Amino acid sequence: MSDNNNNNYLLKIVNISKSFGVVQALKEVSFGVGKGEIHAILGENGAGKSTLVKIIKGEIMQDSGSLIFEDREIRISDPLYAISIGISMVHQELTIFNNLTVAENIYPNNVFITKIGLINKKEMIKKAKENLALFGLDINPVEKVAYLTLAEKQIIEILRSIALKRKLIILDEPTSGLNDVEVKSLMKILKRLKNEGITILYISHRIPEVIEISDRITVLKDGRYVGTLKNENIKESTIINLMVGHEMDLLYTKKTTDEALIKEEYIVLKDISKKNSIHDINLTLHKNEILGIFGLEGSGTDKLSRIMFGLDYFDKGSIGINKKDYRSIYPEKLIENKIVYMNKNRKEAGIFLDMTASDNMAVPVLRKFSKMNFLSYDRVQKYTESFIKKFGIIIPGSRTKPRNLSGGNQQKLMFSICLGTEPECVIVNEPTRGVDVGAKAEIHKFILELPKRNTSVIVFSPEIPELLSLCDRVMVMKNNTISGELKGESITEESVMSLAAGSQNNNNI
Amino acid sequence: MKSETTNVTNPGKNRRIDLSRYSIFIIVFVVLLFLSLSRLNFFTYQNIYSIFYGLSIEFYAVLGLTLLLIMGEVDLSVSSVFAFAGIFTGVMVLKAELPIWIAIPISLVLCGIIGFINGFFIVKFKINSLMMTIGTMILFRGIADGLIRLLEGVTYPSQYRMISKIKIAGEFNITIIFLIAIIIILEILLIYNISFRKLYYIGQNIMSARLYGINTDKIKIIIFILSAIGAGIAGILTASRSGHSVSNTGVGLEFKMITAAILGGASLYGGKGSILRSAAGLLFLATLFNGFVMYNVDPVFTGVVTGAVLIAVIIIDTRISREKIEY
Repeated sequence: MSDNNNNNYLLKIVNISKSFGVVQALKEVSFGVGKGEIHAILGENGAGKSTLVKIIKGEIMQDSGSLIFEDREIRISDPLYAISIGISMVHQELTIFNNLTVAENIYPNNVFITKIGLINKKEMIKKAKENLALFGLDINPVEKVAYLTLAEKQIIEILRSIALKRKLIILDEPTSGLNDVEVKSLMKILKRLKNEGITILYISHRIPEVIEISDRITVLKDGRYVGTLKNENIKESTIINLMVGHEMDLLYTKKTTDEALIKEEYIVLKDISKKNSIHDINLTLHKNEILGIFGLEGSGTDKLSRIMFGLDYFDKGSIGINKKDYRSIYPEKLIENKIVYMNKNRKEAGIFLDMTASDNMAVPVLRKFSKMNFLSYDRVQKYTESFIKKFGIIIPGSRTKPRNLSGGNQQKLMFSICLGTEPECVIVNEPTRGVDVGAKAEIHKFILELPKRNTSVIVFSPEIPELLSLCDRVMVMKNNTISGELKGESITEESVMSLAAGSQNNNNI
Repeated sequence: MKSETTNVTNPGKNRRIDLSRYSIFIIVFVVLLFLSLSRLNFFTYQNIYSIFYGLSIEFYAVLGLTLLLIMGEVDLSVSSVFAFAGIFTGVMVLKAELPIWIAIPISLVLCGIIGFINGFFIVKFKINSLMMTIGTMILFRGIADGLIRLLEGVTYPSQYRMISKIKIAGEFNITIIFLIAIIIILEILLIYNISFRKLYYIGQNIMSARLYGINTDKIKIIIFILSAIGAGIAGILTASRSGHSVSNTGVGLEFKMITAAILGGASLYGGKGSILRSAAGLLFLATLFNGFVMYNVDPVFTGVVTGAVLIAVIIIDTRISREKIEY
């Protein structure tokens, strides 16, 4: 711990530990957040950032340790208490009322009241306008929030925190859905907040951003406190070394394509279009190829992934699989064709959190493990155990429910479910979302081995380095269609980004 | 690699789940024991037999409903379908003078169609099953009320009345044999049969189920059809047993059935439930109401008690499912 002598702390975190089942999310974490500073918490996914935040805002209780807020030990047992003492949070998933106006969202709890107890709309709108102008935002306060961009919604949430006179604002990955321009304006707003004396806890895993904005940086790793650095002439590599504990180069090595392995055309998308969604998508996946698809938020990659796996329909075009054209497609048909899909948000879809690992493993292969439609639990259990071993899943047993596992192990289990079907093609959407560095490397290894077993792969990922190390070819999306294709040596961070961001016509915000 | 050992077990948690799995049987046993000890005429062959006989008739209405609850769906139209099937069979036998063995299949096919409509609308238009089946409940209650006017309090002919009273070995109602057989068969199917296993997957996470190739729409429609047919069978047997139908036949039955299923461990949030335990839940309610008769409790209290039990079980259900609701 570096500067413990500073007594001017707004919030002190003292020896906080927390575990979920077998997983210890936080181990005796201690540090202080100074008054009026922008304090960043950095860490890979699974480092314990979100657990810590949940404890600070009272969503969960720590197992041991204490929180000291304004020199007073506090026990935050529920979020309302946290709010009442001045702690508020801008969520990754926004808590915005889409059906209300901008002004109503900034002042959700009726601060402006007329004499007879009605809401003083005029005053509210006037104040909202002032606040918006203060931050240089050209948003109409009577507009419905539903029509705003993600960035604008986020800013409105921040304005709400200010309006409610918070002392500590926690921002959890605030830039994950924003483009460069939006990030810049957010940074400006944060600096302004700081000047007004508001303390900001900034959670992120984007290092350049953190270096730009924060006064001090605390690094967590595997639930442990690594250190707090003053942001003075700090180097990216210093932080990276703290975060991962080893050189990043080990993780990301540029892939060299083995041309001999790649065979004939396998999946061909022809002119796929959907009204008010993606349009004119043409792409080809060859046998034993790893094809990457990259796009910034809102570029249409999500919609494309859903359509490719038949979770959404398309109006025009066709999908060809093994030279057979389909005008519509649905999951059952794809699974028959030995194509499986790994969803990006495993909690939403991809894993059954409250069913045993065995039950999870059995879903797509029920028929294979049954005789006359009767399931053999013994065979499923053996099958599950073999995958637990193969993928090094840390789990008490095949009857454990995934809810108690860490993100990385949940992800590996989801991988096992998919690969257990012996697929000819795997469509993976953000394969390493919410997993720690170690698991990430392992998952990359599994993916890279797939073509050797005659399995083709389509990878959707928001991380360019990940695509560099996995893919033979990368398709880049922008404005709901394909903006370019890169192959082999021409795939670089710069080339992908320039196709994705295309500076000349960036007309968001 | 993290250093947690792989042989960690948490027996405490498993034990708790096991206990809740069997709690309905313990509750039933306690009620049976209490009534047996406190009322002399409770634990007689005749009384116990009549409880089980009643159970063996109403039971059909909770079958499909339990399967729906496992999938996280619900069917409130069971009560109206129950009334409609009994009355419509009566109309066909009395007014159209059809033989009972033709009238019953026709009724059940119509019930199946109601179930199909429920399922189809819920699946295709993504309507909440609660609201959809409230709609069909009101609709078919109206139709049943219209049909009852044709019967004007007449008694059903003996061929209709005999259906529920078929006995084997001269003593034993065949419906009780069916009750036992169906419980055993469905319980086995729900554990081992891959088609029935899919219900649990759908109830746990419908999106995941779709992702892994389960045809969720088709399965849902089929189970809605089963639920309506089950309600129809129960309605026909009940009408047959009492020998006539009245206009408020089956009113409130849907909530009794939901209460029974949730008492038996099913959840409004899906993913859980068993036929055996739903039957035990129904047995609990039947025994309770039988006890009320023994204690000369005013019949109006049955509604009060069903409501109170329903609220209690839903609170417990929601508390247990909290993790799932919140993620």
